[in-house]
Amino acid sequence: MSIERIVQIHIAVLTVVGAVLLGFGRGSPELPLLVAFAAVTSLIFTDLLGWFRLNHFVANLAALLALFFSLQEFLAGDSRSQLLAVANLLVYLQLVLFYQAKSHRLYWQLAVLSLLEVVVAAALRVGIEFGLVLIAYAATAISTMAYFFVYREIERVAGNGAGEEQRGALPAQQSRPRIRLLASPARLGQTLVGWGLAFQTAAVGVATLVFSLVLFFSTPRAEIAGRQAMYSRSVRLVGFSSEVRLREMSRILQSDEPVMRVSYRDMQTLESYRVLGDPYFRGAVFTEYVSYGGDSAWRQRRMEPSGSRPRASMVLNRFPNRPPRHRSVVRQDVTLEPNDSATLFAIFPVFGIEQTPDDVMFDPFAGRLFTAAHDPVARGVSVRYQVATTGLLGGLQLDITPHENRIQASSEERESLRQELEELVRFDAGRFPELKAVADAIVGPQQAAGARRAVMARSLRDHFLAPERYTYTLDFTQIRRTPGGDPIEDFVFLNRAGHCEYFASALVLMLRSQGIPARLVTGFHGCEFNALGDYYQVLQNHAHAWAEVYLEPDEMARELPPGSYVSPGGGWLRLDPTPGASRDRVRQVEKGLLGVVDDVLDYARLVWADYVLGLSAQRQRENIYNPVAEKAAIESWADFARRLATDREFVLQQLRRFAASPYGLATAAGIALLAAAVGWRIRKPSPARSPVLHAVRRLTSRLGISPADAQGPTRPVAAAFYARLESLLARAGLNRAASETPLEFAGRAIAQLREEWPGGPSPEVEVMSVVEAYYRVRFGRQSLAEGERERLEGSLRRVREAIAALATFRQQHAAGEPSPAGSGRGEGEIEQQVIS
Amino acid sequence: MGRRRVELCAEGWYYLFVLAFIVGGATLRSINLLYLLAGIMIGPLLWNWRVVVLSMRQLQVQRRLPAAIVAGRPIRVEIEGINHRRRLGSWMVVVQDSVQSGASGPRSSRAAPPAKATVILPYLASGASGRTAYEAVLPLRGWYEFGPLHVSTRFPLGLVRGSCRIPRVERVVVWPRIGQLSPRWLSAVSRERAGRQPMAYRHGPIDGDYYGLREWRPGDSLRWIHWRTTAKLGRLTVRQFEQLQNQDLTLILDLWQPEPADEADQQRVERAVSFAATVVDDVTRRGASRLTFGLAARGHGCWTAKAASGFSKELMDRLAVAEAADDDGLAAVLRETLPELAPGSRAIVVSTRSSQVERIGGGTAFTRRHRHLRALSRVLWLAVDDPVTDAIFQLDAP
Repeated sequence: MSIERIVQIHIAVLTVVGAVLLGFGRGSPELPLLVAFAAVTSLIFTDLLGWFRLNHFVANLAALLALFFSLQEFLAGDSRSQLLAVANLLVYLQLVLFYQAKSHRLYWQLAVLSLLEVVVAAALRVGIEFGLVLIAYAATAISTMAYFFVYREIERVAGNGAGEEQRGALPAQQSRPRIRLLASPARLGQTLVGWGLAFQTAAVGVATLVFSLVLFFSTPRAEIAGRQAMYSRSVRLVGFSSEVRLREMSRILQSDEPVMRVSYRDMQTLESYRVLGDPYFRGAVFTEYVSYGGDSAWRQRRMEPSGSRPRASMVLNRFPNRPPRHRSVVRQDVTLEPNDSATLFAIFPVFGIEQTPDDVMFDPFAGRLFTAAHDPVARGVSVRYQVATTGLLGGLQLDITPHENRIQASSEERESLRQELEELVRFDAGRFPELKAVADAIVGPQQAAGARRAVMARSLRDHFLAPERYTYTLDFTQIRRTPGGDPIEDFVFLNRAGHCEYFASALVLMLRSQGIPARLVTGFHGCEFNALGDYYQVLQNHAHAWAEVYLEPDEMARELPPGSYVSPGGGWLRLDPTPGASRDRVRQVEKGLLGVVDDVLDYARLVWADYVLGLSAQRQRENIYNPVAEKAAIESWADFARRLATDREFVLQQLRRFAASPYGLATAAGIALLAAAVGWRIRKPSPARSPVLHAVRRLTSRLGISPADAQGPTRPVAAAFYARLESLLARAGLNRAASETPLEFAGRAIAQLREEWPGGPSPEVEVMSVVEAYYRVRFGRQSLAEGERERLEGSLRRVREAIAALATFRQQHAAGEPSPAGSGRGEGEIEQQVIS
Repeated sequence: MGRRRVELCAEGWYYLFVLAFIVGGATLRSINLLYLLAGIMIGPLLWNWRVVVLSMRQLQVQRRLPAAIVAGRPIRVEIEGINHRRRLGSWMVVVQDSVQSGASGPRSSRAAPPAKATVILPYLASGASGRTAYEAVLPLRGWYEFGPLHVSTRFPLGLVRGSCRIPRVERVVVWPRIGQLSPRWLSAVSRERAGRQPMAYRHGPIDGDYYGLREWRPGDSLRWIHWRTTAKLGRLTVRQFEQLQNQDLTLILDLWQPEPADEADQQRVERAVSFAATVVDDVTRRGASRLTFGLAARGHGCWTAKAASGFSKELMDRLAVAEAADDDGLAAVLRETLPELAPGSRAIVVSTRSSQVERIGGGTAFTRRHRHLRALSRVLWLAVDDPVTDAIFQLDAP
C-alpha cells in the first residue's frame, strides 16, 4: 500500500472520528453517519478509482451554498443553535473537500476542519464517551500527522510535488550539475512505513496522553466555578414535573439516565453513612387536585392573592433552623444532573449547614427545596449541594418527617398551618362517589371506633397493596377510561390499573374523603449503591409518587420511636400505596459482572463530570494542589525518612500499603514489562537458532514491516539476507560452525550439496553472490547497488527452490524411488542400493 | 557537525496558531474540555521538539565521492550518516548537498548557482550507520565544490525542524569529457609506421601479463620454462604471456585561443581537451606503452612516462584545469618534445587551429637545427574543426 493511500485512509478515519465527537455534542448521529458515508465513498470513488472528482468551480459553488445555508441557521437560532450551525458548516465543507482531487493543502484543510469540529463539540455538553473517543481521536490525529509528514517529506525530496531544490537540475541548464535521486519515493515510503514508525506514533500518543493529563490538572483555573460547557442540552426529568397530570393514553417509557448521585456522611464523625433500604427523595409537594378539559391534575400549593398571604420570609427562606444537636444528623452531598427544573431532591427534613450553597433555598410554604440559581439560559450545569437531614436513624429512613412550619412562633404561622390543613382535606364527594364509598367501607368502622388517624391511613393504604386487587402498569394503550369521568374514580372503580401517581392520588383522595389531611409528593424512591465511588445513584426510572398524611404532634409522638424528637408543628406520615413487587423504581439489587461494570462506568461519569468538565479553582486546590503540597512538605518528608530509617514496622507497613495500592500494582507491572524488554534485548537469539522468532522476522520482513528492512540499503539488510541464506541452508542440515567464516561455510555447503546430489540443481552462483554481497556490505563499507536487493531476493528464491528439490530428492531416495530426471546417480546404482 | 538549530516549521506555526485559538477559547469561556484539547495538542509539539533535538545529537554525516570524476559521466555520491548515540535512532534525516563549479577555472560561466541534491536517510539505528546516494552529472571539466551539507530532520510530525550546517567544502577536479576514438584513429597511427621496422621494446624480463602454460616451441626463451610443471609432466612447458604491442605515442595538445574568444573558440578548446583526454585514456587502458605528452597552453610543459594509471591521472588532472592562451607556446613544446621522438614514430598534435607546422618550421628555432626540422616533418596535425578529425573522434554534446 502506498504511503499516500495510508494518508488518505488516516484522513478519512480522522474526519469520521471528529464527526462522531461532534455527534456526541449534538446528541444526534446524522452528521457522523453522513461524514462516514462521504469518507468511505470518496476514498473509493474519488481517491482510489478516480471516477468522481469535483472541479474547482463546482466545489467553490457548493462551499458557497453551504455557507449561505449555515448562515441562515446561524441567524435564526439562539446561541446554541448558532454553534450548531457552525458545526454544520464545518461538516458541509468537509463533504465538499472529500470529493475533490487531493493535494497537500486539501489534506490540511480536512484535518483542520476536523479539529474545529472537535473544538465545537467540546463547547457543547458531552459525556465521558466523548473523553474515550477523544483519546481515539488524538491517537488517530497523531498517526495521521506522522504519516502525512512522511508523505510530504518524501514528496518534497523526490521533487514530485514541491521539489524546488531539484528544479535547478533541469537538463536545459547544460552548464550546471545535474542531480538525480537514486531511491524512488515508493521505496522510501515502503522503507519508512513499518513497526518503527508505528512505535514512534504510539510513543507520541502515550506521551501526549500523560502530558495532556498533567497539564490539564495542573493548569490554574480562574476563581469562578469551572464551566462544564458553553451550550448544552439539559435532561428532562421523566416522571417528575411541576404538575402531575393523570391522563396517560400511551406507554410510558422508562429511562436509565442518571438523575443524581448522593453520598451520606455522619455530621459528627464525617465517616461515610450507609443507608439501608430504598430511601425516598422528596421533590415537589402537590396539594390541589383540579380537573380541566377532561384531564385531572395535581398542582403545587400557591400563594393566594387574598389576605391569607403568608409572610415573605416564609416563602423564600434560607433555612431558618439549624439541625438539632441531640439528633443523629446526616449530611447529604447531592450532585444533580442538569435538568429543566429548579426543584432539588433530598431526604427530608432538610437543614442548611455550613457547606450548603447560598443559592439553595427552602420554600416552607410549598414544602420544596429549590435552587435560586436555576437559569434557563445557563442550562446544562450540574447542581451540587449539601444539606443535612435528621430523617435517618440507624441507617433507616423514618416514616414521619416534621412539618416544615416547625416553630409556629407567631399567630401568622399558626394561621398559615390552619389554612394549609383546610386545603388538604378539600374533597369533592360528587366527583368521587365510588372512591368515597370504598374509603367509607374501609375506614368507617375504625372511625366509629375512634381509631387514630395513622391507623386509618394505613388501612386505606393496605387496600391498594392487597394482592390482585390493583395492577401496576405503565402501558395505558389497552385502558379505556370513562369519557368525562375522573381518572382516579375510574381507577378505583373500573380500571384498576395504573402507575404510582394513580395509586398515590387515589390514596390521598380517599384520606381526604375521610377528613384526613393528605397530600401528594413526587420525587425519587430507591437508588443503586456504587461501592467504587461510595455513593448512591438515582436514575430516571426511580421517579415515584407517594402520599403524606398530616399527624398532630401528640399522634406523631406515638408513631415515632420513644425518645424521638417531636416537632411542635406536627409531622407528615409517608404512605406508599404502590404495590412494591411491580414498581418501576426498584432495580436489580444483586449486582453481577454487568452491575460492576455499570458501577465503574457510572463512577467514571462522576469523575468526568467533577474533575474534567467541572474542574474549578476550588476543586483544584482541594484535590490537587493541597495534597501535593502536603506530600511535598519538607517536614513531612523528613519525618517520613526518619521513620523509614528507624522504624522497621513502619517500613513494612508502608511496603504493604504501597503493594496493595494501584500505584504498587502499576509499578510492579512496569518493572515486569521493563525486565521483559531488557531480557528480550539481551537474549535476542540469532535467527538461525530460534526458528519461531526467525519465522516471525521473516514474515515481517516479507511484509515490509521488519525493522531491519526499515533501514534501507544498509549493512543490516545485507546481514538479513545472509541470515536468510543460513536459515535456508539449515533446512538442508547445513549449519555454519562457529569457527567457519561465511565464505568457508558457503564453500563447504556447496561441496556437500554437490556430493550428495551431483546432478541436482546447484545453487553455487546464488550462494556465492549472497555471501559476496554480505562481505562487501558488512566488511567493505559499501552499499547495495540499485536493483541488487532484488537480485539477492532472486538468488535466495533459487536457493530455496534448490533446497526444496533436494528435500524431495532425499525423500524419494529414502523411499527407494528412482531419482528425478537429470539426477547424476543412475537408476542401476539405486537398484543396487535397494538390493543390498 | 556545525551549530545545531531548532526552529518551528511553517506547519508548526500554523499548528501553534490553532493551539492559541483553542487556549484562548478555553481561558475566555472557562471550558475545561478545551484545556484538555490544548494539552493534547501541546504534547505532540513538545515531543516533536524533543525528538528533533535528540536526533541531531552525536550525528555525523559525511559525503563519499568517487576517486575519478569525468565530465558528463554520472557519478554516485554517497551520503553516509553515523549515529554515535547509544540510544535512540534518528529517523528521516534529510541531507541537502550543494554542487557548484569551483571559483577558479578555465571557463567564464562559473557563477552559476549551485545545484542542490536532497536525500533522505530513512533510519539510523543507535550506534549504526546508514547510507544513501544520489547521482550527479558534472557537465564540464575543472574544479567543482561539493558542500556545505545541510542536515535536518522534522521527524516525527513535521512541526519542528532541527538542522545543522556542515561547512566543510570538498573541492574535486573533474576530468575532461571522454569521447570515442573510431578505428580510423588506430589505422591513422599505424599508417605512419607502415614500411618501417617495428620496434620491439622490452619492458623488463617479461613481455606481458602471465596468461597460462603451454608446450615449449622452438624460439621460446629459456627464461620462460616452468621447471616445476616440466618436471611434473616430463616435457618442456613454458609460461605464456599476453603479447603487448608497441603503442608508444607522442601527443601534443595545442590550446590556442584568440583574445577575446567567442563561444565557438571555447567549444574548440573543450573539444581539443576532450580529444587529448580520450587519447590518454585509450592509451592507458591499452597499457605498457610510453606516452609523451606536451601541452601548449597557459603554462605549457612536457611529460613522458609509461602509460599507466598514475601517469594518466596526472595528465587528466592537468587537462582538467588546462586553460587556453593566445600566446604561441607550441613551438617551445615542439622543440622540447620532438628530439625525444622515438625512431620511426610520429608526433600527433591536437590543436584548436589549422596546421602551424610550416610557420613553426620557418622560425629561427628550427631553421638552424636540421634534426628538429626532420622531426617536424613527422608531426601529424589534427585540428579539431577539421572533418578528418571528426571522422577520428566523436564527442557527445554535454
